[in-house]
Amino acid sequence: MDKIEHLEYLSKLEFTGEEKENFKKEFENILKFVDEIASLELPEGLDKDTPITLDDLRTDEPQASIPQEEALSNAPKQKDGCYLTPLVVE
Amino acid sequence: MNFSELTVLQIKDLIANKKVTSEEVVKHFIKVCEDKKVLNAVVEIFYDAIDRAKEIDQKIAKGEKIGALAGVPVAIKDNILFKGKKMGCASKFLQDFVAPYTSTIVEKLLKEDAIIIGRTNMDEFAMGSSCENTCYGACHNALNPEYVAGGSSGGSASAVTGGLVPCAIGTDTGGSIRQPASLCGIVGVKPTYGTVSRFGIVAFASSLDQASPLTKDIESSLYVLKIMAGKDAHDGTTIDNKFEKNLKQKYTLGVCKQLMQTFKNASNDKHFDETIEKLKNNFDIVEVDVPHITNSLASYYILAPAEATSNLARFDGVKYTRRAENTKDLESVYVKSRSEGFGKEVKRRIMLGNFVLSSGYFDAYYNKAKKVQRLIRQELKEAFKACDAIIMPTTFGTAFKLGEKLNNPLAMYLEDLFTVPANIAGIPAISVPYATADNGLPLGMQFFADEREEEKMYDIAKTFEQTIKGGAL
Repeated sequence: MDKIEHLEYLSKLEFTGEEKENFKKEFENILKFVDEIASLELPEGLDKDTPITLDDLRTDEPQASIPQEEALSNAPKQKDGCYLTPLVVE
Repeated sequence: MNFSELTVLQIKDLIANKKVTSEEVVKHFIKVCEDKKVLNAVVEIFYDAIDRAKEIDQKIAKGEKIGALAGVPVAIKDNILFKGKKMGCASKFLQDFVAPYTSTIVEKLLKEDAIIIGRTNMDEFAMGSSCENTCYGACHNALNPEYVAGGSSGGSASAVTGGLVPCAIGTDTGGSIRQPASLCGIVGVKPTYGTVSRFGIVAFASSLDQASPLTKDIESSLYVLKIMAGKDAHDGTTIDNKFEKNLKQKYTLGVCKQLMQTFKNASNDKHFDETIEKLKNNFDIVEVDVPHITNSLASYYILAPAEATSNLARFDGVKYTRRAENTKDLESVYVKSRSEGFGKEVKRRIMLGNFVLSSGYFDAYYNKAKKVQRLIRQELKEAFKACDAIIMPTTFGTAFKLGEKLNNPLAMYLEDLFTVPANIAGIPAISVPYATADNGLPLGMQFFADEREEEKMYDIAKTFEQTIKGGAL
């Protein structure tokens, strides 16, 4: 599979032929730009940055949330308090 | 009295001191929003704001205790939830979405008796630097409608500068408040990461997103920011930012060697150098070294799309408002709904995010960018040992013409070069207007401070403003 087609698959997107051609050109330029990170030499022992640690999290206890009806209020299709999708299992 | 020329603090005082009613004020701003509809800055006016203003007026008349923003109109960006109101992220995907709950920041504003008057235009899902990637049509800069307002919070910036509202809330992931504030000649800030709750704001890149006010003046900016700030049980990344006052008589400003080199390679603008000369009377100026700061933008265009691609996976044609017609199975519901619903720039970033996260590339791009982020944060921490704030232009130049950069994504991305490091490092940054360029449009000056040093940063911005205006200190 071509790289762009693979990314379309991962992204759950599809492009028309012309869109794809334009996209390929733009994407190559953007990749050249972000490649400066891939080729950068970094000091040893550098950790990844993280905005929070596990110590910052609250205890895992159930808490009240918005009612199911309200949570579903923007669903395009719903039935019996659930999202309705095309048949998934035969 | 033209309320459009007043600041948040001035309007608040007038209302609290019964010089004017909130109803008069709200009606004035609604009228200006209607008259300046062509700017495309405010995409929906909440007319029930008038009823709420009357309630606040009654409270004041009865001598009841009132909130810190009693009767003051505030507009919110179209990615912030306010229960019962539409919220669209400027996307075709969400045009019928109605907020099922209220964001923490709107709750906090309402608690202080602010009046939420409408929602403002933005780049779709906050991705863009010109407020042209929007299903409502491009937002125009109120200072000159042929020019962009900047982005992604372009609607909020243009609305404030055009006098449509005294304050608008935006969000800033890579500069989306500060860049439009600079292009529209107003004050925009991004606080220390975690200062403001993200609960009820549509996520773009969760580890970088922060919401904040756009205002005409520095004092009102800090005033509103403090109201929005606070630890929130709904957002585990919020911090207890105490806004400690580590103020000084005289501050040291750092000029970053690497950023200035980048600026001078691309711009002939002399305003910055001239301004630094003027500042020498009131500030100590030193050069600081942040060797990897210029790698911030490339890191950002790896990290932000990676997070965005995960955050935007929830828009699948099942949960939120839009589902494509004529689909045969679940996969086609996903693919068709997303392909029809998302605009070009959003698709571009989803694809880029999936690329940097995909097998074989994850270590080389995503993991590496996370390490570069750590390095930049360490280097900035070191730089703040030698200075109180780092000073730089907010952007390379003024606002550009509508359409000028729309077909060149990379040129558009470069708009964020000076703003992105603050998001990457999680530190506070502010943009204040300081000069007018030859085309008559404003230029913004930006200050970075160390984390949780907002008070100091605002004090520096005030001293800066007084210095360039030639006022006595």
